[in-house]
Amino acid sequence: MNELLFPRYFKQAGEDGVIFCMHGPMSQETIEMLEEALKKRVTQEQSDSGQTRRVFAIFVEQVQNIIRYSEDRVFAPMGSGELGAGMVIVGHKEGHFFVSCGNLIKTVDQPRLEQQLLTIQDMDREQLRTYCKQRGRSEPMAGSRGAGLGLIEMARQSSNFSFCFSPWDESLTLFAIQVII
Amino acid sequence: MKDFILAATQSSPEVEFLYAQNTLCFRGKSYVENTAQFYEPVFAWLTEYLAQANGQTIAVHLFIVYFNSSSFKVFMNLFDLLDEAARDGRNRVIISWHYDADDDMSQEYGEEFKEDLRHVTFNLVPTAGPETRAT
Repeated sequence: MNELLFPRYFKQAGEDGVIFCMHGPMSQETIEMLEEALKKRVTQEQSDSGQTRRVFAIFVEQVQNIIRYSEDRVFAPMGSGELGAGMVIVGHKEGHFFVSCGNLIKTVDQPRLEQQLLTIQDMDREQLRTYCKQRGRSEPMAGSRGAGLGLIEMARQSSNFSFCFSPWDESLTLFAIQVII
Repeated sequence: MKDFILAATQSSPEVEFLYAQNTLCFRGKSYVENTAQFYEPVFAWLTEYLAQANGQTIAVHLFIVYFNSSSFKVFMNLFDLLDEAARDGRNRVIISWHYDADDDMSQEYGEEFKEDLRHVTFNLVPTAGPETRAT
């Protein structure tokens, strides 16, 4: 730990337009604590209230996905709810906000998730709308612990998104998604 | 029946179901960790209430400034339940979806909820700002 990390991180964060970055265990409490701070910072950057709502909405969906689906589980003290570890970055670059997050998943779950993302990515607004309702009225899909609507919701509130999977170890894969608002 | 009242938290709405007045009101944000668990007693009360309501005009007001994707499912289920309750004409159900006038997503969601309902009256009510309160 002799190298001072700060100069490197500071320069990189500036170049990437990072407003906010958090790494490690996250819980519902994390979202609630950050709500006001995040909204204030986004409003400072651009005072459009619709944009602020969208950034927060996508932030909630992403962090709740980390809490529910990250394979990196953390022991939670009694009463503090579930904890999942991952990373989330909110930034503003070239006139657009972005919310980017990632967490470890089981490698065997990759094909199912990838297929779902490709399906959503191919849809136009009207198709997303129909799909959202259809999924809202059906039982959650296998492996889903929420309503299974989070990814659709992110697609609806954003202008586009991209994702990637990188091998981590023999059984885990790092999944990351970047949503542009 | 007793009234059903829950105070708002940062991530859950105030719920105020007044039995004698036949009014149901949700006010605030909805992004709790476990949505199904949070709304379970809400639906339990509502189901019991709808089973016994007869010849009433039931007013349902929603002032939801933000909701997450699992709450979207809950609201869809809620409206379906109310629509079903109004089907036989025994009771009249009027739902008002109050949204901040410059929140286009909330308006869009309101329109979406509305288009599937056949037996209730569903009003989209723009309000001046997110802090506007029902009177």
